Amino acid sequence: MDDGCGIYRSAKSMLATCNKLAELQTRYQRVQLDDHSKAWNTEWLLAIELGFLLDVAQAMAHSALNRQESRGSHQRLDGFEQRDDLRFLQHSLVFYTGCSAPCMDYGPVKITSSPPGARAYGAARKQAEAKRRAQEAQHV
Amino acid sequence: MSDPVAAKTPESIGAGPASTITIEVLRYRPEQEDKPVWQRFEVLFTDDMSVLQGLQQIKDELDGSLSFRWSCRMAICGSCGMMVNGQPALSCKTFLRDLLPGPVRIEALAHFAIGRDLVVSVDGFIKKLESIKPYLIPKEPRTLAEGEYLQTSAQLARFEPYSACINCLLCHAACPQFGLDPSFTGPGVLALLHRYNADSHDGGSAQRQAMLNAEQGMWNCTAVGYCSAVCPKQVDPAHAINQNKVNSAKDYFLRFLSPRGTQP
Repeated sequence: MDDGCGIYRSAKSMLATCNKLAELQTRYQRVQLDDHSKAWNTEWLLAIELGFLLDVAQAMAHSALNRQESRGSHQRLDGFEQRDDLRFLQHSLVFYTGCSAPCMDYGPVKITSSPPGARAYGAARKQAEAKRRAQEAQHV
Repeated sequence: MSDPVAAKTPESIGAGPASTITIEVLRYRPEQEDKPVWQRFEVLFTDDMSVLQGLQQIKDELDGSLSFRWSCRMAICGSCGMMVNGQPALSCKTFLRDLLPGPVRIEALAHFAIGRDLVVSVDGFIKKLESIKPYLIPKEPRTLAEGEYLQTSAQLARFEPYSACINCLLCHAACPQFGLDPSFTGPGVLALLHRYNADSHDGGSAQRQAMLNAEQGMWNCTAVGYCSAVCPKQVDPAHAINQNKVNSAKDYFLRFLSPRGTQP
């Protein structure tokens, strides 16, 4: 997850993570325990948690791979460096299928008081703020 | 009672020769043993390893059936308290390099019933904790519109150190009195009781007085002070108990002067 789906990502790195997770899911089907007792069996607990960790990791990796834009801590370096509100101002919905890959869909986003915007610094930030104030003045 | 299981070496787990340290763990598997037994492990050792990391290596590489509680690995959650070479300690905050050349002997926290291996039963502690009303009981009722309850930094300083308790139970494992008499409320619970009593927001000290003055309350403390020595968060339960003894004695004698004592 760190290597393929860190802040800076590409289709290649995310695909590698998706494939690795599919492999781990297959291996997880064969997971075995040393400890078969009923009292405070933490090995069993860890095994259960590992299964859910893999499911959550798959949901993250597949929704990241499908998101062909950059937004927040999802920064793509492979031709999708800009935010794309037209296609991706949506919530990623991931559905468990029990197979190697989850099923993807999107749901609407309700914007209340903080619309998405570019994170700018220095002179660019001052310029962006001036622009925003001008727009607000127009609306008032 | 079975003999300690033969030690597994780094070589036997395919790790090759390296510097190792011996960790001896007191095992108790209720379905398997009548009494706790010692088991030896040879753990691959680096200077930066905590005792907890040593145990995790045992669980991951040598014996997956070893059970112990842990969570944060940074002395915040209070889960990994155990006896390390006979002293109560957080295993995440105790480093193997300080225990060279070993062996390091690890047992479940003293004075608590062992549930399994290094996991103890905390039910009694939780019951006591609930009984002292460990929450703010507002001194004066106030509506939202009336704003915040203000507090000066001097008022904060009176209880702030006691609010650092992470319920790790090291002080209870250290307390000889709690070891002799499990009904004793114990240093950790009494320190938390004081945390709320000493808070200027709180008006619940009269409600907590009965618990404090009960036979199993603070007067059971024999002022050994080991609780404060082992506390990983510098809470100083011994000082909390002493302050309450003074307050309670004052309250007792002032009762003769005023029917309401010093209680508001």
